[in-house]
Amino acid sequence: MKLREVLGLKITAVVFSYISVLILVISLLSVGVMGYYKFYFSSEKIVTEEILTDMAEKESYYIHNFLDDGREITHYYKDKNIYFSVTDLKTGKVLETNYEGQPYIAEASTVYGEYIEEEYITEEGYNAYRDKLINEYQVDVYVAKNMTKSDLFSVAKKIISVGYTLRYYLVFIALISLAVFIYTVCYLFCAAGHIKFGKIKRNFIDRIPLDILTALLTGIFLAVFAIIIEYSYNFDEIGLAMIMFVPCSALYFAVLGYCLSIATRIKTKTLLKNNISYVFLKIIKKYLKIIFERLWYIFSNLALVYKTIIAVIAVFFVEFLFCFVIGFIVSFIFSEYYLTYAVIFGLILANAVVFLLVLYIAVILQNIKSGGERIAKGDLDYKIDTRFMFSDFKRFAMSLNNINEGLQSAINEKIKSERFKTELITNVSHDIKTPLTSIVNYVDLLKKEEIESEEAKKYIDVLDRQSIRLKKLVEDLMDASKVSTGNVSVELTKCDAGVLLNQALAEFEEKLNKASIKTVVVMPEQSVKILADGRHLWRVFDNLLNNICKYALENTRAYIDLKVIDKKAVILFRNISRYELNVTAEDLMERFVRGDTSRNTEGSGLGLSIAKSLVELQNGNMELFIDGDLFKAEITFDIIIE
Amino acid sequence: MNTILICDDEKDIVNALKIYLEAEGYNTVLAYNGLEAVEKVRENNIELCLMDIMMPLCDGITAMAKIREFSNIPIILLTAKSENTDKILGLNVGADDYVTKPFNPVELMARVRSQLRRYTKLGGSKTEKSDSYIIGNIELNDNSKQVMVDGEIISLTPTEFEILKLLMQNSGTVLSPSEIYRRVWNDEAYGGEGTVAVHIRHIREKIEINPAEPRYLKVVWAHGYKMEKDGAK
Repeated sequence: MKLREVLGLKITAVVFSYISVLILVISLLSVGVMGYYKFYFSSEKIVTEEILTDMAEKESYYIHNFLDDGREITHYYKDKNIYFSVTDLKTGKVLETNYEGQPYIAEASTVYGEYIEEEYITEEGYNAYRDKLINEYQVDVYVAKNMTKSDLFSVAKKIISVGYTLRYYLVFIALISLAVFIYTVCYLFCAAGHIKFGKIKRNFIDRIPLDILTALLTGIFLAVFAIIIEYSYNFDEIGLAMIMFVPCSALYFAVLGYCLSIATRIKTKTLLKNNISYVFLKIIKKYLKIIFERLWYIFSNLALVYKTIIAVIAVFFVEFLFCFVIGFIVSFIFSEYYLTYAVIFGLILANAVVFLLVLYIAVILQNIKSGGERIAKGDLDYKIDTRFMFSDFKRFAMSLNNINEGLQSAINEKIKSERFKTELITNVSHDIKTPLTSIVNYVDLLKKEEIESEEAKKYIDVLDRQSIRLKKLVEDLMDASKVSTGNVSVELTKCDAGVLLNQALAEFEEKLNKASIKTVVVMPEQSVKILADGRHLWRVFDNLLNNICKYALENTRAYIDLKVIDKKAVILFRNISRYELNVTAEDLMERFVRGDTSRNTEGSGLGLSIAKSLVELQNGNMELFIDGDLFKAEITFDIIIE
Repeated sequence: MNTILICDDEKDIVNALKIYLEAEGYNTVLAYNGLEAVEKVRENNIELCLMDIMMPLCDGITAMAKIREFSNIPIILLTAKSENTDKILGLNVGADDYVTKPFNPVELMARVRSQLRRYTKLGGSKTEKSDSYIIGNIELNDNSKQVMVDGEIISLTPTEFEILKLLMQNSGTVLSPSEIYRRVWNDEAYGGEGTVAVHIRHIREKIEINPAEPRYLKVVWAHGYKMEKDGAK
């Protein structure tokens, strides 16, 4: 279990963070107050004097209040470390005092006036009241040097003394508590959302939409503090601090929880998503998009002329609006209304001319556009009517018509060249095969002649062998050219790949035996149906099996697999080559490349190329792989699913 | 002996064919274009015609169509066109057989023999008995369990005989290997299709002149096998 998943640790961290914040606030406040009274710049004596003078000044205000109320002051100050004297400044007579020349450490002297309300007549001749100063008092307050009694002043002196001693420690404490606070809060942020087994999960607070949570928190605390502020005049500073303590603490916990919840939301990537407003915005966006798309669809499907009309009207509307505003302002300033009307009339006239011109151009473009579309679709006989067009538009339409004619002749050319190619292949085939027939026949006849010379017989054998090879070469060449120019008819029907493979293997049974090659055939029990042309596919298998007979090492096995992989029929031919395969698979597929570099075996080097072209004509795929002496041919077809 | 017309625009080929045919004991008449061929067939008592397709003045197909107007002698086409569509066209117009150039002389002689035998001996007496099936030059007798090709008895194994009989009974229709296995072996074909294919190749080697280009027992690649319905015609 990781540290960030321990619940107890989390609670402890929360408590610690709270305590550290409390200490931080208190120590910071103390440091602030001490700084205000220059604890860090003056001696203790001066600081004490200054504070006590402040307090004495306040005390003089109380004494003045007592005087107003007519209460006895001497009795009240019997138990305090304060001496005072009140002097009537008019008469210079001391009204009341208990100061008898004792030593003091701080002193404050304040003057207060006594007013009565007086009626008088103002300059305008009204009756009014005003305060009239009738007497002034001076209140002197002395703080005793030797404080014998226990009161606010003695306590204050003691606190000042302690505070002065601790003034640097307090800064230190503030820093430590700040460090503790940062550390615990960081831990809490890291641990937020982690429950068990490394998973991050949202609790019920994290599931409340963020905007609602924020509004709720803000609302409650605004209400609480409004009430506190409303009644705050009932309390002094200390009382207010006590009253604020509880809601502030609660606020601290709430804000901490809120921040931690945001941390969890960020971790689970729900910060934006889990918002009511986000959901609303998303819905609004969706509908706006649909509406916009519909409008755009309608607009883009309108004829060019209507599109132009809408666009022009929109432009005119904006223009008029603009002119009306300008005109209104102009006439407002110069009070010349007819000017505005004249401008608007001129504008309408000019716009009407522009409108007609734009409409005319749009009609021309519409004709060119629809003509172009028809040509693009292959309507080669179509001609765009250029009678009512002018200038560049006319030339554009005419060149479109010319393209059409060019296209027509290009297609005719193409058809002609295709036909020519087909005829060429057939004629060349005939012209080569006719002399070849004579050669084959006369070599055969020569063989039957009685020839004395043994050498001559050997030469005839060579002629015989080579003429047969030439015949095979010519046939393959014809096939290759037909197949690679696509000059073969392909009739794709539903074929059974297994049946064809069996048929092909039966044809090659004897040949494979003669070459001492054993075949290992693996095929699925159910039939594999593919879309192919049986005759052509047989030719492919024919070529591949012929290759095995010609190029596979004697006394080895050839593996022939028919498999179904991912809705594809895969036919694999694998064998060990008799010759070193120092060519790449890509090269082998090229025309006239053979596995034996010395080229002394039969074969034209066209078999694989023909096979690949044939497979591709049937929408299949053929690939070769060479791994050392292992030769692998892979044919792939889509299977038909019934 | 039988008289054979040789028609090709290539004199060397005509000459070679003349040598081969006369070595076999046939009389020959020579022609070097289509028009000449039609004339010669009309004038002489010709019993078989070897005809090239691509010739000046009048090509082989046209000449053959003209000959067919007055004669039903066997015609073997010699063609350099090896496209399947050309072969089918030739047979539809009225050829009895074809060889593609460059042809093997031995194979051509065999085809000539086969056609002549069919035309002279079997031609008239094509009476089909209930227990025998005749397709082209192939005659299968179910009673005597004998198969005759060009009048010669061919030895087939019992399985081969059964397969051939099944195919001849259903001539013109394609039978799949599993179907053949089921009906000949009376068993479900679990991997027995390969066996059928091998047997059929053996039959083809026995009854066909060129097993790679069968005349009667056709391989319908990726589907099965079929016996042609009574030869070309």
